[in-house]
Amino acid sequence: MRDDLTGRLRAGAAEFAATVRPARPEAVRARGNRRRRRQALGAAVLALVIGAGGAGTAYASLGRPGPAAPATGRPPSAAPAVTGGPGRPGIVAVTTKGALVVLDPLSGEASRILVRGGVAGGAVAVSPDGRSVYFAARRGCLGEIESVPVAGGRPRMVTPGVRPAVSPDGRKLAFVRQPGAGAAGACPGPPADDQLVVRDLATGAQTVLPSAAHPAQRYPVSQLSWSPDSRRLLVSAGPAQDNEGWQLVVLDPATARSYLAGASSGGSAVPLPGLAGSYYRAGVYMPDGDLFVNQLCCTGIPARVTSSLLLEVGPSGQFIRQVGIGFKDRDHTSLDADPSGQWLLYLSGPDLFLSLDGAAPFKLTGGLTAAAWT
Amino acid sequence: MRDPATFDAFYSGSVQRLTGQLHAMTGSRAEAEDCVQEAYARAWQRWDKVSGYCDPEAWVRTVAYRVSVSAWRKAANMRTAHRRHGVAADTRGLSPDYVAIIAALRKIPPRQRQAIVLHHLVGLSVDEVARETGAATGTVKARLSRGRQALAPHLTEADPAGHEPPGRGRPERGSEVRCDA
Repeated sequence: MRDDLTGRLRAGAAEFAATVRPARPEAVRARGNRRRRRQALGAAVLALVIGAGGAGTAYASLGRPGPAAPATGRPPSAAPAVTGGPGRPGIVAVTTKGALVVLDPLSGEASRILVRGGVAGGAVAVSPDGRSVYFAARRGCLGEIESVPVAGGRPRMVTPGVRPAVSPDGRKLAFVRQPGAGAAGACPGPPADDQLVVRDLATGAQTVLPSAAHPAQRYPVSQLSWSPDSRRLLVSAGPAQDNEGWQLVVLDPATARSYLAGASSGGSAVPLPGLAGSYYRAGVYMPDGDLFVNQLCCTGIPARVTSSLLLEVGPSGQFIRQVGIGFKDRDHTSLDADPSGQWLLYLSGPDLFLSLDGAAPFKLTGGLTAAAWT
Repeated sequence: MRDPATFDAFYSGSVQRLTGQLHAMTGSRAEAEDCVQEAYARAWQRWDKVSGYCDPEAWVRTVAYRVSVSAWRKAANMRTAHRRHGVAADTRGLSPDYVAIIAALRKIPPRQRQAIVLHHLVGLSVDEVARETGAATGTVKARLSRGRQALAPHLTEADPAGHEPPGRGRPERGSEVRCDA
């Protein structure tokens, strides 16, 4: 019975298999790709529903819409293999205790301590060759930009200032300085408005741009980012008091007269089409010229955030894809894209989140005040 | 990174065999073809991972079977199929003997049918059937025994063509590569 059953079953199945006319492999792959996109969309909708419910803790991803998605070579990813992944670049970060460290990109643990203490948060920048880290060291009331080799070594003082950003060609350093805060050890009275300084790293020549805002209102710069061609700066700046007037400004430091947008300043605000009341809280350039931004809603006094989204948008503000939904009660800072443009990182409060190819972000570690890809 | 070339080769080399196995498990050509294609689509969805498995074919077979037993999906598909085509003609081009075997398999419980197909058609050992179905070895033995008993009254005729059981491309028992990972 057993051998008979086996033989008859196999003979019949082989006969049947010969009559099967399977679909072409491309069609099956297309079906798999459609399924993947549907799942990504479902995850995004679910996360939006959770976010709208007030939890504010959901994260979602949406693919680039339309047929452009496969053409970019960056298909949406519903659930990335987030704990590993070859090619994940290294990360440098500033801890809440003021140490500058190199993080293990897989575990999030500090693998090397570059500076043990006294490092100011807000921004840390890595030179394009990946060898040096620029950071702001606290010197009394002041900030002083220093650099240190990623491999470890003695920090070198560069110039007074905070929030360093190195251009992709490695020639220029943009940073923020507060006038009146120049004399070491002397703490100024009321803080003056920021100045944006662009320094030629070879010659030391500096270009200084004020905010040119009303003298009574400060517009601190929260983040600086260079365009891929090293010619333009993306400045995230907003009022110190409330949430009205935040700007994401693109300017050419060679011709601009101030770092806020305006007819006379030379800078232009990144448009935010079709979303009345929303505003950009921060943004950085990606290697392909698109922007990775944190978009909040809504403006108004008193400040009340109803949504905080991490998005990829085009240079003209056109929506490309949603990377994640942020916490409404946290600032999202230190936005950064790695040189390949595939890995994104940002701090949500003190927590470091990573995203691969725009997929749902995941928390790598916490206790940080600044981070950047090496 | 998903490699389309390796997927296409895997698909082309295994899809007919797997469809035959699913046909024996489900008794329906249309359902077997649809479930197998869905399983391959899911395999492609996570091909970077599935391609690393030592037996991706077993993964696709398991997924295809699970897809086939999804009650919701089954009901929806049957409604659609009836609306479009009426009852599908499954038996065209098949020998009467195989049609009789399939008909007999449809009369026994699904778990017994699955065990019979995996053991007698796919050629898995009892342990391998247990691993693939997530059942205990003793359970698999019982299902096989009861399944054969239940099939016996329906399988009285011998193979009229006297076919030798064809191989299915797997290594012989003695040389089989064990894959416990």
